[in-house]
Amino acid sequence: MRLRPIIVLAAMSVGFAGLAVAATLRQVIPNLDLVEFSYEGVVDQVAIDEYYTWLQSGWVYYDQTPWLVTSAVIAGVAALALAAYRAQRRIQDQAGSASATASRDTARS
Amino acid sequence: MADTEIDPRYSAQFQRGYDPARHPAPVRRGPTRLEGGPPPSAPRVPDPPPVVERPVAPPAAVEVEPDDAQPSVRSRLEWALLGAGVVLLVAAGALFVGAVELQNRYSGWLPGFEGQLYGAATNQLPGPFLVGGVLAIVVWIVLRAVSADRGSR
Repeated sequence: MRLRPIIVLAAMSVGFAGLAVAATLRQVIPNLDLVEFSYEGVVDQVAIDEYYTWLQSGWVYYDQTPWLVTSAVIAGVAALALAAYRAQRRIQDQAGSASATASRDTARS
Repeated sequence: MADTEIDPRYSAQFQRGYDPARHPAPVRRGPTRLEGGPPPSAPRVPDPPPVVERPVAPPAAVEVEPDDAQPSVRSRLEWALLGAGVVLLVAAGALFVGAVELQNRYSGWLPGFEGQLYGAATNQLPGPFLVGGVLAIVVWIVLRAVSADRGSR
Protein backbone atom coordinates (compact mmCIF):
# COMPACT_ATOMS: atom_id res chain seq x y z
CA MET A 1 0.00 0.00 0.00
CA ARG A 2 1.49 3.30 -1.10
CA LEU A 3 0.72 6.21 1.18
CA ARG A 4 0.04 9.54 -0.40
CA PRO A 5 2.64 12.05 0.82
CA ILE A 6 0.18 14.92 1.05
CA ILE A 7 -2.12 12.88 3.27
CA VAL A 8 0.81 11.77 5.42
CA LEU A 9 2.00 15.35 5.89
CA ALA A 10 -1.50 16.56 6.67
CA ALA A 11 -1.94 13.77 9.22
CA MET A 12 1.37 14.70 10.83
CA SER A 13 0.26 18.33 11.05
CA VAL A 14 -3.07 17.44 12.61
CA GLY A 15 -1.42 15.04 15.06
CA PHE A 16 1.12 17.57 16.27
CA ALA A 17 -1.57 20.20 16.58
CA GLY A 18 -3.61 17.82 18.71
CA LEU A 19 -0.64 17.11 20.93
CA ALA A 20 -0.05 20.85 21.30
CA VAL A 21 -3.65 21.34 22.40
CA ALA A 22 -3.33 18.48 24.89
CA ALA A 23 -0.08 19.88 26.27
CA THR A 24 -1.70 23.29 26.70
CA LEU A 25 -4.72 21.87 28.45
CA ARG A 26 -2.41 19.93 30.74
CA GLN A 27 -1.11 23.23 32.07
CA VAL A 28 -4.48 24.02 33.60
CA ILE A 29 -4.51 23.26 37.31
CA PRO A 30 -6.95 20.40 37.89
CA ASN A 31 -9.76 20.43 40.40
CA LEU A 32 -8.12 19.25 43.57
CA ASP A 33 -9.81 17.12 46.16
CA LEU A 34 -9.22 19.16 49.27
CA VAL A 35 -8.82 17.48 52.61
CA GLU A 36 -9.59 19.32 55.84
CA PHE A 37 -7.17 19.11 58.70
CA SER A 38 -6.80 20.80 62.03
CA TYR A 39 -3.56 22.10 63.46
CA GLU A 40 -3.46 23.84 66.83
CA GLY A 41 -7.12 24.56 66.61
CA VAL A 42 -6.97 25.99 63.06
CA VAL A 43 -8.92 24.12 60.42
CA ASP A 44 -7.37 24.23 56.99
CA GLN A 45 -7.58 22.42 53.66
CA VAL A 46 -4.82 20.67 51.83
CA ALA A 47 -4.40 18.62 48.69
CA ILE A 48 -0.64 18.26 48.74
CA ASP A 49 -0.25 14.80 47.23
CA GLU A 50 -2.62 15.34 44.34
CA TYR A 51 -1.21 18.76 43.62
CA TYR A 52 2.37 17.56 43.53
CA THR A 53 1.46 14.54 41.46
CA TRP A 54 0.08 16.89 38.86
CA LEU A 55 2.93 19.38 39.27
CA GLN A 56 5.68 16.80 38.88
CA SER A 57 4.37 15.42 35.61
CA GLY A 58 6.58 16.31 32.70
CA TRP A 59 3.69 17.76 30.80
CA VAL A 60 3.50 20.60 33.28
CA TYR A 61 7.11 21.44 33.98
CA TYR A 62 8.33 20.89 30.49
CA ASP A 63 5.67 22.34 28.31
CA GLN A 64 6.38 21.39 24.71
CA THR A 65 3.52 23.35 23.20
CA PRO A 66 5.65 25.82 21.16
CA TRP A 67 7.70 23.00 19.65
CA LEU A 68 4.64 20.93 18.89
CA VAL A 69 2.99 23.91 17.22
CA THR A 70 6.14 24.55 15.20
CA SER A 71 6.18 20.92 14.05
CA ALA A 72 2.51 21.10 13.09
CA VAL A 73 3.13 24.27 11.08
CA ILE A 74 6.12 22.72 9.27
CA ALA A 75 4.16 19.62 8.25
CA GLY A 76 1.11 21.66 7.25
CA VAL A 77 3.07 24.11 5.14
CA ALA A 78 4.88 21.22 3.43
CA ALA A 79 1.55 19.54 2.64
CA LEU A 80 0.16 22.75 1.16
CA ALA A 81 3.33 23.42 -0.85
CA LEU A 82 3.35 19.89 -2.25
CA ALA A 83 -0.34 20.15 -3.19
CA ALA A 84 0.28 23.49 -4.92
CA TYR A 85 3.27 22.05 -6.78
CA ARG A 86 1.26 19.11 -8.07
CA ALA A 87 -1.63 21.35 -9.10
CA GLN A 88 0.77 23.57 -11.04
CA ARG A 89 2.29 20.54 -12.78
CA ARG A 90 -1.18 19.28 -13.70
CA ILE A 91 -2.14 22.66 -15.19
CA GLN A 92 1.11 22.78 -17.19
CA ASP A 93 0.51 19.28 -18.53
CA GLN A 94 -3.02 20.14 -19.60
CA ALA A 95 -1.84 23.33 -21.31
CA GLY A 96 0.92 21.42 -23.07
CA SER A 97 -1.41 18.70 -24.38
CA ALA A 98 -3.91 21.33 -25.58
CA SER A 99 -1.13 23.20 -27.41
CA ALA A 100 0.08 20.00 -29.05
CA THR A 101 -3.44 19.14 -30.21
CA ALA A 102 -3.88 22.63 -31.65
CA SER A 103 -0.56 22.34 -33.49
CA ARG A 104 -1.55 19.00 -34.99
CA ASP A 105 -4.91 20.41 -36.11
CA THR A 106 -3.21 23.41 -37.69
CA ALA A 107 -0.69 21.24 -39.51
CA ARG A 108 -3.42 18.89 -40.71
CA SER A 109 -5.54 21.76 -42.03
CA MET B 1 -27.18 20.21 -77.14
CA ALA B 2 -27.27 16.70 -78.48
CA ASP B 3 -30.67 17.44 -80.03
CA THR B 4 -29.36 20.37 -82.00
CA GLU B 5 -26.49 18.46 -83.60
CA ILE B 6 -26.89 16.58 -86.85
CA ASP B 7 -27.02 12.84 -86.62
CA PRO B 8 -23.72 11.42 -88.03
CA ARG B 9 -25.68 8.98 -90.03
CA TYR B 10 -26.87 11.90 -92.14
CA SER B 11 -23.39 13.17 -92.81
CA ALA B 12 -22.41 14.03 -96.31
CA GLN B 13 -20.22 10.98 -96.88
CA PHE B 14 -23.14 8.70 -96.29
CA GLN B 15 -25.38 10.49 -98.77
CA ARG B 16 -26.08 9.44 -102.25
CA GLY B 17 -23.76 10.96 -104.86
CA TYR B 18 -21.05 11.77 -102.35
CA ASP B 19 -17.69 12.11 -104.06
CA PRO B 20 -14.66 12.40 -101.81
CA ALA B 21 -12.67 14.03 -104.62
CA ARG B 22 -15.15 16.81 -105.00
CA HIS B 23 -16.47 17.09 -101.52
CA PRO B 24 -14.04 17.97 -98.72
CA ALA B 25 -13.56 15.49 -95.97
CA PRO B 26 -15.50 16.29 -92.88
CA VAL B 27 -13.63 18.00 -90.18
CA ARG B 28 -12.85 15.56 -87.40
CA ARG B 29 -14.05 16.59 -84.06
CA GLY B 30 -12.41 15.78 -80.84
CA PRO B 31 -8.80 15.00 -80.04
CA THR B 32 -6.49 14.13 -82.87
CA ARG B 33 -3.37 12.07 -82.78
CA LEU B 34 -0.35 14.11 -83.67
CA GLU B 35 2.58 12.83 -85.54
CA GLY B 36 5.98 12.53 -83.88
CA GLY B 37 5.00 11.27 -80.45
CA PRO B 38 3.50 13.02 -77.55
CA PRO B 39 3.81 16.77 -77.36
CA PRO B 40 6.44 18.20 -75.08
CA SER B 41 5.24 19.00 -71.58
CA ALA B 42 6.60 21.07 -68.76
CA PRO B 43 8.99 19.30 -66.37
CA ARG B 44 7.19 17.86 -63.38
CA VAL B 45 7.49 19.95 -60.26
CA PRO B 46 8.10 17.82 -57.22
CA ASP B 47 5.44 17.88 -54.54
CA PRO B 48 6.19 19.95 -51.46
CA PRO B 49 7.24 17.87 -48.50
CA PRO B 50 4.42 17.14 -46.09
CA VAL B 51 4.43 19.13 -42.89
CA VAL B 52 4.22 16.11 -40.61
CA GLU B 53 7.19 14.42 -42.25
CA ARG B 54 9.79 17.05 -41.85
CA PRO B 55 13.29 15.74 -41.70
CA VAL B 56 14.10 15.04 -38.10
CA ALA B 57 17.34 16.51 -36.90
CA PRO B 58 19.69 14.03 -35.33
CA PRO B 59 19.33 14.05 -31.56
CA ALA B 60 21.79 16.34 -29.91
CA ALA B 61 24.03 15.06 -27.21
CA VAL B 62 21.99 15.19 -24.00
CA GLU B 63 23.87 16.50 -21.05
CA VAL B 64 23.30 14.27 -18.09
CA GLU B 65 22.50 16.17 -14.94
CA PRO B 66 24.62 15.43 -11.93
CA ASP B 67 21.55 14.25 -9.99
CA ASP B 68 20.69 11.71 -12.66
CA ALA B 69 24.27 10.68 -13.06
CA GLN B 70 24.54 9.59 -9.47
CA PRO B 71 21.18 8.27 -8.39
CA SER B 72 22.73 6.02 -5.80
CA VAL B 73 24.42 8.96 -4.05
CA ARG B 74 21.19 10.91 -4.08
CA SER B 75 19.26 7.93 -2.77
CA ARG B 76 21.80 7.46 -0.01
CA LEU B 77 21.49 11.13 0.95
CA GLU B 78 17.72 10.85 1.08
CA TRP B 79 17.85 7.79 3.30
CA ALA B 80 20.46 9.49 5.48
CA LEU B 81 18.05 12.41 5.86
CA LEU B 82 15.33 10.02 6.99
CA GLY B 83 17.71 8.32 9.40
CA ALA B 84 18.79 11.63 10.90
CA GLY B 85 15.17 12.63 11.38
CA VAL B 86 14.31 9.38 13.13
CA VAL B 87 17.39 9.65 15.35
CA LEU B 88 16.46 13.21 16.31
CA LEU B 89 12.90 12.19 17.17
CA VAL B 90 14.09 9.27 19.28
CA ALA B 91 16.59 11.53 21.05
CA ALA B 92 13.87 14.10 21.71
CA GLY B 93 11.60 11.47 23.22
CA ALA B 94 14.39 10.01 25.37
CA LEU B 95 15.42 13.43 26.66
CA PHE B 96 11.83 14.32 27.45
CA VAL B 97 11.40 11.09 29.43
CA GLY B 98 14.67 11.90 31.21
CA ALA B 99 13.36 15.35 32.08
CA VAL B 100 10.24 13.85 33.61
CA GLU B 101 12.28 11.36 35.64
CA LEU B 102 14.56 14.13 36.88
CA GLN B 103 11.57 16.18 37.91
CA ASN B 104 10.21 13.27 39.89
CA ARG B 105 13.43 13.04 41.90
CA TYR B 106 13.39 14.87 45.16
CA SER B 107 16.60 16.74 44.54
CA GLY B 108 15.82 17.50 40.93
CA TRP B 109 19.34 17.89 39.56
CA LEU B 110 21.92 15.15 39.43
CA PRO B 111 25.22 15.94 41.21
CA GLY B 112 28.39 16.68 39.31
CA PHE B 113 29.17 18.29 35.96
CA GLU B 114 27.78 15.40 33.95
CA GLY B 115 24.61 15.49 35.97
CA GLN B 116 24.22 19.20 35.45
CA LEU B 117 24.91 18.75 31.74
CA TYR B 118 22.36 15.98 31.48
CA GLY B 119 19.83 18.07 33.36
CA ALA B 120 20.37 21.03 31.05
CA ALA B 121 20.12 18.81 28.00
CA THR B 122 16.89 17.23 29.16
CA ASN B 123 15.51 20.64 29.93
CA GLN B 124 16.49 22.42 26.72
CA LEU B 125 16.97 19.94 23.89
CA PRO B 126 13.75 17.90 23.47
CA GLY B 127 11.93 20.69 21.68
CA PRO B 128 14.66 21.60 19.16
CA PHE B 129 15.33 17.91 18.52
CA LEU B 130 11.63 17.36 17.91
CA VAL B 131 11.44 20.20 15.39
CA GLY B 132 14.67 19.10 13.69
CA GLY B 133 13.48 15.52 13.35
CA VAL B 134 10.11 16.56 12.00
CA LEU B 135 11.76 18.94 9.55
CA ALA B 136 14.12 16.22 8.26
CA ILE B 137 11.31 13.71 7.79
CA VAL B 138 9.09 16.29 6.08
CA VAL B 139 11.90 17.24 3.69
CA TRP B 140 12.50 13.54 2.96
CA ILE B 141 8.80 13.00 2.16
CA VAL B 142 8.66 16.08 -0.10
CA LEU B 143 11.87 15.18 -1.94
CA ARG B 144 10.70 11.65 -2.66
CA ALA B 145 7.28 12.89 -3.79
CA VAL B 146 8.78 15.49 -6.13
CA SER B 147 11.33 13.07 -7.62
CA ALA B 148 8.62 10.44 -8.15
CA ASP B 149 6.40 13.08 -9.76
CA ARG B 150 9.17 14.13 -12.16
CA GLY B 151 10.09 10.54 -12.90
CA SER B 152 6.54 9.62 -13.86
CA ARG B 153 6.39 12.33 -16.56
